[in-house]
Amino acid sequence: MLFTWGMLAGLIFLFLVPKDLTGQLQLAYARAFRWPLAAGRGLTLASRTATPPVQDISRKDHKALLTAYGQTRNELANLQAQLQEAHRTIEGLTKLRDRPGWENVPLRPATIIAPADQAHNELIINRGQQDDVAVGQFVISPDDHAITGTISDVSPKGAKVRLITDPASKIAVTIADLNVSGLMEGRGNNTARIPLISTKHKVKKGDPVYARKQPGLDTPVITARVTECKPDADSPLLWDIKVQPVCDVANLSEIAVVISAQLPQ
Amino acid sequence: MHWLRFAVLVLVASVLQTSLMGALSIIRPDVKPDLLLILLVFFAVRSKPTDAVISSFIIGFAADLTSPTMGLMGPRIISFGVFGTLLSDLQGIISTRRGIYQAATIFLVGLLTAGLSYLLTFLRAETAEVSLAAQLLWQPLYSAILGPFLSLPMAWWMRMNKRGRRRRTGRRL
Repeated sequence: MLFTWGMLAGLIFLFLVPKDLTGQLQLAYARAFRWPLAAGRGLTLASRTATPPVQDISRKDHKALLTAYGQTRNELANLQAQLQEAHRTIEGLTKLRDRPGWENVPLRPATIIAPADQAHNELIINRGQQDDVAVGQFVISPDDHAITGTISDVSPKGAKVRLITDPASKIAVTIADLNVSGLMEGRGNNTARIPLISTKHKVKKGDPVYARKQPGLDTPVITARVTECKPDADSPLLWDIKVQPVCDVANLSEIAVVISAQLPQ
Repeated sequence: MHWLRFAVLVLVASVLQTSLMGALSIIRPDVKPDLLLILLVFFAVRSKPTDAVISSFIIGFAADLTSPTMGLMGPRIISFGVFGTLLSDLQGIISTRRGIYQAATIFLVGLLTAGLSYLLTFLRAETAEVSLAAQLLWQPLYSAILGPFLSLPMAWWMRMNKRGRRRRTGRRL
C-alpha cells in the first residue's frame, strides 16, 4: 500500500503538478538553505582555481609573516570578505558601465546560489521580486560582457535563470553584421542552434551571435559564437548552425540582471 | 528507524550534493558522487521493509528537489521508490556486508535509477543533450567507489550498527 501511495505521489508530481509550482518549491529550498549552498559553491570554485607559485623567502621572514598572519586574520577575515564582495560587484558593474551604450542600462548584481538542475542549464540567484527582477529579463556576465540567459521563474527573494543552452530557451538573435535575424534555441550540453537561416547569408564559424535589442537594452550584446555551420540535411537551402555561449557558465559566480529589458511572453 | 536522524541525514546530504560535491568532480563537472543514491542503497538494505519503502520515496523527493531534470519533479521519486523497494525485497538474497558487494549494488541501482529517470523525463519533456555515459556509468561508478566508506558513519548516526545490537541482546549468565 505504501508503495502504491509513493508511486501515486511520484506520478502526480511528474504529470499533474505544473512546472511553476515545482519551480517555486525548488526556489523555496534554495532560499531556505542559501547560506550553506553559497558557501559550498564558493569552496567548489576556490578548489578549481590554481594556486600561484610561492616565492622563496628566508626562514626569519617566513616566521615573522606567520606571526603577523596569525595576529590579524581573525580580526580582519569577515571585514575583508565583505569588502571584497562589494568591490567585486562595483568593479563588475563599472566595467560594464564604461562601455558605450551601457551608461544608462539598469543593472542589478546578483550572486549565484546553486545550479538549479543536473545539466547545469539553469541557475538560482539571490535576487527576486523585491529587487525588481521579473520573468523574461536578460542576465549578463559582467566579466565576459555577454548575455548568459533570461529569468525564467521568480519568487520574492530569489529567481531562476534559464541559460541560453537550456532546451526551453528561445532568444531572438542576429549573426555578425549580416542583415538576418533568427531564434536561438538551446540544445543542452552547453550548445544551442539557430534554425531557419537561408544559405544565401554568408555565415561562417567564429561569427558572433548578438541578442536583438530590447526595450531598456539598446546596445547589441554578444551571447554566443558560431561553432559549426553546414547545410541542413533535411533542407539544403537552410543552414544548420550550432553555437556555443561565450561565458564559462561552470565558473560563473557573479552575474547582473538587466532590470528593464523583458522578452515578450 | 530514527526518523528525526533520517531527516537530518537526508537534508545534510541534499545540501552537500548541491553545493560541495562539485569540488569532487573529475573529468567533467557532472561526474561526481551521488550522496542520495548512496543513502538510498544504505536504507534499502538495512531498514525494515516498510521503512525502506518510505525512505526510498523521501530520498527520491529530495533528489528531485535539489537537482531536478529539465525542471521536472517526479522521475527520481518514482525511480528511487521502485528500485529502493525492489532492493529491500531482495535483502535476504543479497548480502551487502562486504564492501565490494555494497559497491556493486550502488553501481547497479545507480545505473537503473538513472535509466528510468531519463525515460520518465523523456515521457514528459524533450530531454536535453546530457551525457548518458556520465549519468549511466561514471556517476554510479564514482558513487559505488565512495559508498562503502560512508556506510559506517551513516550506520553510527542512524544507530543501525548490527554489532551493537548483538551485544545488547547477549545472553545473561
